[in-house]
Amino acid sequence: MAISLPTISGLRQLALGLCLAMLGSAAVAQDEAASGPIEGDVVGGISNPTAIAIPDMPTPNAVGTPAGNTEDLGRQVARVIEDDLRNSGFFNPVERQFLRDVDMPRVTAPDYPAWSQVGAQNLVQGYVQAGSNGRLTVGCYLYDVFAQAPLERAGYEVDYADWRRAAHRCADMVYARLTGEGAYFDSRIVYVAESGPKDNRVRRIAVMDTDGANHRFLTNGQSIVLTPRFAPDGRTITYMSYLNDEPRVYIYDVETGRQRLLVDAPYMTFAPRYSPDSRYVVFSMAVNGNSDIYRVRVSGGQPVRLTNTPGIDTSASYSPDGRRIVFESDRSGGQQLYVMNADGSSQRRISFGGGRYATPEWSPRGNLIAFTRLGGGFRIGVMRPDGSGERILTNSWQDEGPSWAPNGRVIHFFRTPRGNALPSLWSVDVTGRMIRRLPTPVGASDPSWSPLRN
Amino acid sequence: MTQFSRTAIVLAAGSALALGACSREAPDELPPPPVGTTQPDTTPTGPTGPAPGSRADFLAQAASDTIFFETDSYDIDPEDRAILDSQVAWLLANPSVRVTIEGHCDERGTREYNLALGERRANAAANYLATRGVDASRMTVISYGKERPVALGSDAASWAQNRRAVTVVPVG
Amino acid sequence: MERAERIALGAAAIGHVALFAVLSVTLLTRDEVPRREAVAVTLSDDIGAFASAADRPAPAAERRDLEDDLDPMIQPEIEPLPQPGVTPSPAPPQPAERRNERRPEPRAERRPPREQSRASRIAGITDGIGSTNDSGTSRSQATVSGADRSNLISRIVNAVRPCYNLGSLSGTSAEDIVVRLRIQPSRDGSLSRTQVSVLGARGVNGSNRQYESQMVEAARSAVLNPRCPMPPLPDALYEDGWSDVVLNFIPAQLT
Repeated sequence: MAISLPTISGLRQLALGLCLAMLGSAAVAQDEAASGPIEGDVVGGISNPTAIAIPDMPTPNAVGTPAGNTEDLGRQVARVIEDDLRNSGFFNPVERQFLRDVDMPRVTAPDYPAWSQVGAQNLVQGYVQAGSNGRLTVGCYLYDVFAQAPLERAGYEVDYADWRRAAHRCADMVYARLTGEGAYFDSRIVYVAESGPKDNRVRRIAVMDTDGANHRFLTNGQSIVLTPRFAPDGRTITYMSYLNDEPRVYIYDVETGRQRLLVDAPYMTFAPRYSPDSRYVVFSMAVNGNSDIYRVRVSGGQPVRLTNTPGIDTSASYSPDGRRIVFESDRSGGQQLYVMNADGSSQRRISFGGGRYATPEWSPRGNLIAFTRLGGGFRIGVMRPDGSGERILTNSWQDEGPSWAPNGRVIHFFRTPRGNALPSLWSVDVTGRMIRRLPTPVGASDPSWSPLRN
Repeated sequence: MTQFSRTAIVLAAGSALALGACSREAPDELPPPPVGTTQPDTTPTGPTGPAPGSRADFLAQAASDTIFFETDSYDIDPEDRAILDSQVAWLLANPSVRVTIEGHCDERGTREYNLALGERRANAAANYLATRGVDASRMTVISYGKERPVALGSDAASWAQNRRAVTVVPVG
Repeated sequence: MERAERIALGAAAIGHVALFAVLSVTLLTRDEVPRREAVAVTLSDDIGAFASAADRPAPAAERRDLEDDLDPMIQPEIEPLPQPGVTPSPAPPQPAERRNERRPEPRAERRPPREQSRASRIAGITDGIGSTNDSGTSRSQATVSGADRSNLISRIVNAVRPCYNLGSLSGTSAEDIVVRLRIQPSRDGSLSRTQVSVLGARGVNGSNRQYESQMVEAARSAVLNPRCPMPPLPDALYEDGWSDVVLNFIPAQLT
């Protein structure tokens, strides 16, 4: 089968592991030559995408819906799931030519030997059904083919127009069960869509599903817009706009499409980020050349100043428990990362490597802080909140602006090429593997993930 | 490098004559003319020159509308002061004109930091003008960070042109 | 065979729709694995699609299967491994009795009692930890030379290792987890799920607990993957009464 062939590096790892394993098992055998069970050590796992089969989903009754015939939807749902899983980098979907037709009874009684024969380790089956209530039900079943056992199943009922969401949630269930990570496919991305030459660029806030579907622009491009962020409750987006040539932070209501000024001050406000409870925004305000960090209620009111040093304090980001804030400051001479309590107390530098550190973003899991490291280019990296365990994940001319997926496993950032070319969105696994470009209709920067939808 | 960045001055077409009167050495190569807010007034100047108080008048009278900065710096050096002094003369002669001071950065900083750095540069220029007698209430500062470069390359010459503060007189 | 049972059960399930709904909710709400909370929420949100689908013209067998299949979704309960040095030494064996007991075991396990299966199919592979002592050996194995044992272990490890795939777990804190499996291959080397037991997982801590069942499954998949078949085992081993093999799956390269 042309499935899940080991990669070159996998083979190298394999060879090394085999040597180690033989040494190890020989040692065990020596020790226990006279008694004990036959016991050996399998040392050093390989790391390949898991082969998984996602056949078309049948429907118990093929009927037309506003989103298309349920028979057709069954095929499309399977393809969306397949794309999600493939794009995660952890799964290698069995090629379509090897997939078999599944009828309704087979959905819950899989033909394990047949799927094993095509090399699938896991199997996702399901069905699509139009309900009498005008909604679509997608049943989603995950199986372990080698163990011949069901692992998990879930059902999703959605409006016809949201059929892709049901597919994303099925993919999320599979991903979460097989990786041990949290889900993230059923979420959205807000970013800055960029078009035109560098010296006259048009920038628009845009949102799309994580797979690029359901793309739409939220602003018309007449004003420069920058650094959008989804509220953790998903209801609003904060961003910076040059509306009326006054660079200020705005709050955009996703439901109504209305926007309003966050803070009415005669100074530039920028770098907005929500608190985890969506009640506050931290932002920077530049007063006579000095930028400090402030906090204000999303609903408005009097900002509270959190930093007060000469220099540039910006790019603040809350810890997921809301008790601390990481930010960048050039108070020591160049940009470095600092952590403080949410009230501004106990400010402490955490980055000490060479070069400069910028745009920290605290992982939703709390265990890591992503950042941009500057010095001979921009690179994306992660470190623990105490500054230890720094790892650089990317290597390019300019990789900037990391943003975490809701599960804290995947990081988005934007990559700017040299010269006049447009930037684009990329994702990287927190282990530094699987760097992948996200398709967008035009150039793109400043990605920010929405929370999981519900 | 430093010498080059100092001489790599943006030459607006309309102000070439005025600049020609200065003692500044000619740059090795002419950068492309700037666009947008620094575009000179295109209204015909006529035999008597640009209308007093207009952008074209400012560009004709002042040594330049733009000063340049070192990397990650907002210091005003003597060369910058000479340019700003020439702007002061014009601003004091045209007391009813309000101006905007734009701060810009090259692409080698992160987006949000550069917004703050551009604001520092614009303020540095505005503060100097204020110390020379220009009423602060006549000046508005705005930072464009690295979002509005005039030179599109990713090289030292382009970066030098983009690290700037521009005094913008409204058109008309 | 399981399918036959399922069909029978399915037939009996007509009219159990309400029971199914109750069971579904109960089973889902007692989910204790934090990792699954998001999914559980999803389910409780949407399970209505299943539960309220009483009017849905789906075959009864399907619903029955759903109920049936909930059982194995419970995560395996894995005892922490004893410290390396204190692996229990075999209790004084009773060779003759042992052999009589053990010989039919693999075949019997292939068709586990319904109760056991319902308790947890994944957990089911941990069954037998109590019924057989860890080493599961007898004195007579001393008749097999150390060289033979070494050779056999190498062949088994070499057969399994190319299929020990960590996938998404690679490079994470999951690599601190060492899984210990007991396999009881048939003489031709063939192996089914019921011939695999989880003896334990070592190195589980607060930062990698979320990956524990995935690490167990990675080890289990390695021995069950048809692309990595076991070598046939020498008859002598079976005659001596020790077809058990214990494998420790150590993810990280030696450092």
